[in-house]
Amino acid sequence: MDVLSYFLQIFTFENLLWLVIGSVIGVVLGALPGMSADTGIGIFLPLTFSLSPTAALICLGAIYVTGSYGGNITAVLVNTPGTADSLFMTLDGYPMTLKGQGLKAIGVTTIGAFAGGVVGCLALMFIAPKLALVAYLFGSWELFLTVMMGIIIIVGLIKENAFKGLMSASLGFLCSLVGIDSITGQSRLSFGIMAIYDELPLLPVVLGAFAFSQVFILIAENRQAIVIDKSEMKGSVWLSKKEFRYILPETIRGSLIGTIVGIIPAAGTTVAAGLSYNLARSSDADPSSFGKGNPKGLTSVSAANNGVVGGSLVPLLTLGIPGNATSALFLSALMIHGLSPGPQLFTLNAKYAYGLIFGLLLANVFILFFGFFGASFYARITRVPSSILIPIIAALCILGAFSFRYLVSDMVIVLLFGILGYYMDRLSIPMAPFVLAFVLGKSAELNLRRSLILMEKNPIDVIFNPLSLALILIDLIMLIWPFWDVIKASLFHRAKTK
Amino acid sequence: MSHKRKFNYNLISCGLIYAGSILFLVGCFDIDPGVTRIFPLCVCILSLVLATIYLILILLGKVPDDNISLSGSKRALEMGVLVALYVAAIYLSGYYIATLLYMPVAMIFLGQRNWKLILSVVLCYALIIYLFFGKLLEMQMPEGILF
Repeated sequence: MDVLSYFLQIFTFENLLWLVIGSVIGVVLGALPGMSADTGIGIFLPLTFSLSPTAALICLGAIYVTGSYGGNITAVLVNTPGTADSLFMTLDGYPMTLKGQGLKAIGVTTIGAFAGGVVGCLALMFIAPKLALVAYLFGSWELFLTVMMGIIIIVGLIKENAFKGLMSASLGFLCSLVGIDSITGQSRLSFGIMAIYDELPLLPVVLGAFAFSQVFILIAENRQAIVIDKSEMKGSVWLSKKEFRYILPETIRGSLIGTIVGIIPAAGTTVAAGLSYNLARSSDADPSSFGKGNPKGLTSVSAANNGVVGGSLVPLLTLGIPGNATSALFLSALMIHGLSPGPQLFTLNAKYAYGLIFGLLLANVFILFFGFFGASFYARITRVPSSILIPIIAALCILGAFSFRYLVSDMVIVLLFGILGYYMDRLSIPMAPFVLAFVLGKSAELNLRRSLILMEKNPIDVIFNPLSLALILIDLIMLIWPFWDVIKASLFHRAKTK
Repeated sequence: MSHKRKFNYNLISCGLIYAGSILFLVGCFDIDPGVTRIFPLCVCILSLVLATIYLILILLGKVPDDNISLSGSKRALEMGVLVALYVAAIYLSGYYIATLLYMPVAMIFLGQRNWKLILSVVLCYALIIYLFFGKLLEMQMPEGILF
């Protein structure tokens, strides 16, 4: 069978039906606070037992693709990211909505997500085996440096408030250390509270800090609605040629960054989105416009997020190494249907591998459909009175927190972090560094300690290899870059004084 | 004319970081000495150092006020209390009953007076949650200890 035959196999009633079902479920779950593609895949996995492997993989792939996009909608319109992956959306997406450009923001994020998804799928199709070799090169020390890159990016993002950002990140880091130590198995910093004995749960914390805090912020600001009347929603979801050309470079770059970062295990959408955003901002002629509703900021994140989808499946399908938690669920799906990841997946079982890839490509087309034709419907959310919207958001956040571990204590956690998030917002302490450090902290500590164990035996080989040195250099550049103007001005002033 | 020095709200930010760092620092001493303790201890110390440097910068007047305002916080906290009661009600009576009680109260608290709208929203919300999460996704919903 050739590639064309693999493509045509998608167009059977069963495959198309499950593609549509997966796409709809994915975008709905991605938009709901507390739900995500992981939730959808986890729930639908047993439902796909009775399906053919192609239909099953297509359904789960569609949930993954559109789930990553779904969180963008609520992040952009209501400042409540549906998933942790979408929190970077709020930096420029929500300001656009406040300026009455919510429809345009949805159009921008739709194009970004589509582009990122397509690039990721094409990478998966054409260069997966070669790209997968890169994953082999990443040991614990390299993974630590990669994770630190994600945290250092914070400094670049909040240059004006760098100190507060660093303090926020350190607090987030401390919260990430609560629970059982991955290496020794000892519980720490749980203060005798059984609910957090093993860890502070990721989803309730992120949901509370970003989504639930929005409830309190809306009440304190006494807004009647996010956008008061229809006339404030300017423009259209469709982009003009000029607007499209404006965002195109960042869209392409974000797609490539997301795809490449997605290949690196444990790096994830957070690092990809942060890196893409930071590069977009640094290279722009007017960096100060970022964070105030710049479409380039929005598309760079959207493209990176969906680029990770294809990228994360590269090491999974070729080496059996999941690129992130969601692709780990895919591993279960492959095994349940009797498929083993590795080179033979693209030879003996090519029909299923390419069926998945083409299914992912078609699911990305659904993103365009949901985005462009559903935008005016989603945008109505911004005109719903706060007296109705706020209780619904709160109730959904509470349910979303419960759905993570099915524990009542998680509902308390989401409330507490919601209050913390509210005060951090009012005191102008950036929340993104806190959440980023919380998400990445455990991984950073684990990889650092593993590296230190390895370094006891052979520090030279661990540190002084080309990849490690390159990552150290990149981390240093990213750390210094935001302050380069200040350093340069200071050096120039001293030279002038002398 | 006397000029009252305006309170710099960044001091509260500093206090928040100090409080968190000291809390975790105390927690660190409950960890058995060894590798498990070192990393959190280092992060606590780093956090305290950052907070101290920031405090010094504030006292030296190098940190502007950023026009921070905490107005509206009382109302926000009242909503927080309402949500806490909602969580307690979920624990006692389950998600659906608690939601049917919480949502009208929350809407009225936030100023909604149209009873038809309140009733429609509450019933629609409960129905959608039941159909979508309970039936379609077969998700486990919070159950109360009483009902």
